Amino acid sequence: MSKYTSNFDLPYPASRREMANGALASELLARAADREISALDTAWAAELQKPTSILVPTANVTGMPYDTDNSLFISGAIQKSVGGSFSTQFPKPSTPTVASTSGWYHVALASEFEAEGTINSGSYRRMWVDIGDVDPVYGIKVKDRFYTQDSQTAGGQVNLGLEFVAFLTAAMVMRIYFRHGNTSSTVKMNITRTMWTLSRIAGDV
Amino acid sequence: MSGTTSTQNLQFTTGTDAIQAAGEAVQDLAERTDARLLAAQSQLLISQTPPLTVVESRVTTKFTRITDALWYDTVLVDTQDGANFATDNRIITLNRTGYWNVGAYVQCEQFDGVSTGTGQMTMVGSAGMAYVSHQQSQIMTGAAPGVFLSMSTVARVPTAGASIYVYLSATGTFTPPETVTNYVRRMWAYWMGDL
Repeated sequence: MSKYTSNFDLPYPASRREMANGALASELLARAADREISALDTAWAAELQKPTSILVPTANVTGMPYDTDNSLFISGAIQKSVGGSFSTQFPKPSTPTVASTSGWYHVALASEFEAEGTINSGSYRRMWVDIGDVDPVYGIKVKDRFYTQDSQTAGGQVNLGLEFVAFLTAAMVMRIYFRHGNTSSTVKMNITRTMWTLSRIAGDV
Repeated sequence: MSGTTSTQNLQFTTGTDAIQAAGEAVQDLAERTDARLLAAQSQLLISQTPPLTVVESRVTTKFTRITDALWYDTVLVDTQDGANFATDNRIITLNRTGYWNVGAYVQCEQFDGVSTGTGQMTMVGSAGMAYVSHQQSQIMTGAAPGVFLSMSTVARVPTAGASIYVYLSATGTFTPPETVTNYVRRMWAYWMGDL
C-alpha cells in the first residue's frame, strides 16, 4: 500500500517494487472509482425516493348553502365562507406548504358531493383549486387556478375529478373550493369525501 | 492480460503477466471503469430530468368544434424538444420510446349553440402509437356557465416522434354556430419509463 504525506495525504510509492509494479496507480484508480461509484449510489437512492403525497382532509365541509364558496386547506382545517368575502373569512393555514421540494408535479383531486334536499334540474357542482404563496393576511396569494364542474338533473351523489401538471415551489400552498347552485335556496350540500394526490415528475428544469 | 471480472469485463494483471504489463493494465481498467460510470450517470440523468413538455395558451380563442385542434403559444417546460411552434403549435412530439403520461386541461365558456348537452375534450395520438384517443365530458348548465375539463392517460410509444393533440366537441341539442370560446388550455406529456 502507498504512503501518504502527513498534512494533505499526498500519495507516493512505499518502495521501488511498488514504483515498478504500478501499485500506486492502481490504488489511486481504485480509490477514485470508489468515490465516483459511491456518489452515484447516493444520487440513485435519492432519485428513487420520488416525493409523492396522498392527502385526505381530516374533516369535510357540511351543510353548504347554495351559491357560496366553501374551502379546505391542505392541513385539514375547514374554512367556511358566507357571502364570499375572502379577506375576512379565511384564516391562515396552520401547515401551509404542499410540495416538500420544488419541481413539476402531477396534481389530482377528487371529491364527492351529496345533497340535502331535492335537487332541481340544472343545478351545478363546482370544485376548484387555488395555487399560490402564503399570504399573512388572506392565507393565499393566488397565482393560478384550476376548475372542474358538472351538473345533474336529479338528487344523489355527484363525483368530481380534476387534474393538471404544474410547477410547485416548496413555499406554495393549495386550497380547494367547493360551490353548488340550485334553483331552490333551501338545498344544502355536503362534501363527503375529498382526496388529493401530488406526484413529482421532475425538479426545477 | 490474464484476468477479467465476471460482470463488467474489467481486466487486470495476474502473477503470470510481465511487470511491463502493469501500465497497460491500469490504463485499461481506468478506461473501462470510466465508460461504465458514464453509462450509469446517463441513466440517472434521464430519471432526474425525464422527457417533459408542458404547453399552454391563455389567449381567448373561438375554436370550431371537432375541426380545430387547440393551439398553444407558451412553453412552460420542455426537456425533450417536444414543442416546436414554428412547425406545428397544436401538438407535442414524444421524442423517446416508452410509456408516457399525456393529458390536458381546458377552461371554456358555455359552448355556442348548445341548449342541452355535454361539452367534451378529446385527446388524439398519432399513427403508430398504441393509443387512439380518450375523452372527458361535462354536462353544461345555464345556472353556472362554463366548461372545465381535465384528463390524462398512459400511452405506449413504440416509435419516437409520435405526437398528441386535443380538440373540443359537444353532444346534445345544438344549433349553429358550432364553436366554443376557450380562454385557458394546457397540454402535457412526460415520460414514465422504457418499454
